[in-house]
Amino acid sequence: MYALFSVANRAVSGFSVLSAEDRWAAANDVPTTHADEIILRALDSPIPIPMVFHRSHKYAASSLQPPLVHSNTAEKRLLRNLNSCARLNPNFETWYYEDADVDRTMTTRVIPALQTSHPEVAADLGLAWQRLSRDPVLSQIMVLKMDVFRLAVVWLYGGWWLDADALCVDDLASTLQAPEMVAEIQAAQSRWNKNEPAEACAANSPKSDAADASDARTLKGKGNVGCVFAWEGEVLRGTSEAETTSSPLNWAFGCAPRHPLPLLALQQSVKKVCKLLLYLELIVSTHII
Amino acid sequence: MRAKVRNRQFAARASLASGATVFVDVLFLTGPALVEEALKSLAVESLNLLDISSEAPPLGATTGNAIRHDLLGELRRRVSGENADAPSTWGRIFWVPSPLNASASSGGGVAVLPYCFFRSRGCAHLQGPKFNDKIVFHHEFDTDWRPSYWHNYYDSDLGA
Repeated sequence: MYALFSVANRAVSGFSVLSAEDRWAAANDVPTTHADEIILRALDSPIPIPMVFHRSHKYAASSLQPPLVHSNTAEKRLLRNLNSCARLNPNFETWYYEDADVDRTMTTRVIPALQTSHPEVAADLGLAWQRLSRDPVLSQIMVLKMDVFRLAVVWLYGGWWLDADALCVDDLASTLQAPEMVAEIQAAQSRWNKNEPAEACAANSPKSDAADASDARTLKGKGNVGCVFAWEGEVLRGTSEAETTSSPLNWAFGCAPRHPLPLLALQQSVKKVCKLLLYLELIVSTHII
Repeated sequence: MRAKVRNRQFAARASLASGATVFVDVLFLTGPALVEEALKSLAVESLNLLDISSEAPPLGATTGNAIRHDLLGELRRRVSGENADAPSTWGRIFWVPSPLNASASSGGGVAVLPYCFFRSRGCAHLQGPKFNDKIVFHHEFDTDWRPSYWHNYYDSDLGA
């Protein structure tokens, strides 16, 4: 079962891209079972995020088999990007979602899982997904669906979402688990705790910096790392330069499965999608655009 | 009533049946702004109040639109001790702990790294012994959904 995924990632020269659903079918395995095993492996890590890269693009996996003699530059670039992450992170698996996989995974994996754990979110997501897929205006903008999908699939399985136009430069595991990085995360945890209100600090029995350092190797003294993001920087929210906001970027991020952060973002995104229909109607009726 | 027209640099273009063009604000509809909202929610839930320091005014109560609109950024700056005039404070990780009601299996705090980790080499504040100028991912910005965009292609062989 593992071999199917691992071999593909380890054989750099023969890296083959299979769609996520095809991988699971070929392995005669349901992804939840497979994901559970990956999650168990991840728990031994200081940062227990499953070692999976979720990747997606409009190109079919079958068109990405090397050598790409007849492929266009975009396909070559995509394969180069997928390959870069597989090569630098040999213990990671790449789950590639074709367009059909995206819809299948959402409707047959994510929404049913949410119906069990968060039925209200499942209902809203189902409606929003239908609208994003079928609305004559919204369906023109694939990135909307992909923004929603990335949150959903990382919530369900955990792992790392990477846009197709992202490539790996340094080894993810060794970078994030380097002693210097672990110490910096520990320092960040300590800074947060020092800013907590007095009553909360008392309840949590705050430690000294020296005690913090003793936990630095595992990051388990004060709670695991459930998600890793990076700052996008300041983006313009309104019409003036003063209306900027700081946001984590969403083209690359990793989370433990069922983490509340992607679920919260998913909830809010779905609500906004529903509101947008009204906004479009307003635009049409008032001829603003 | 007139809709607020935002910067269209990051808006996606779509056509109406009438032939008119609309621009959809992707960043704030489904994009990173939703992650920002979610992280802000977790941070507020973890703090249980917005006033994180007895010496400082409550977040959002200070003057200036930027701060009111950028609650998460202000929180990050305060918690991280970031000072615009002190480069040594720029490369700090921001940590939001796991909310108290998260189950053990889904718990874990959120670590937000300096942006250079996911962007490009050569950021001065990531050089040196602390982070050794490591970056994990490079983003090529190879997208066609924005009417205005730039590419950040990585210079390496495409023949693989």
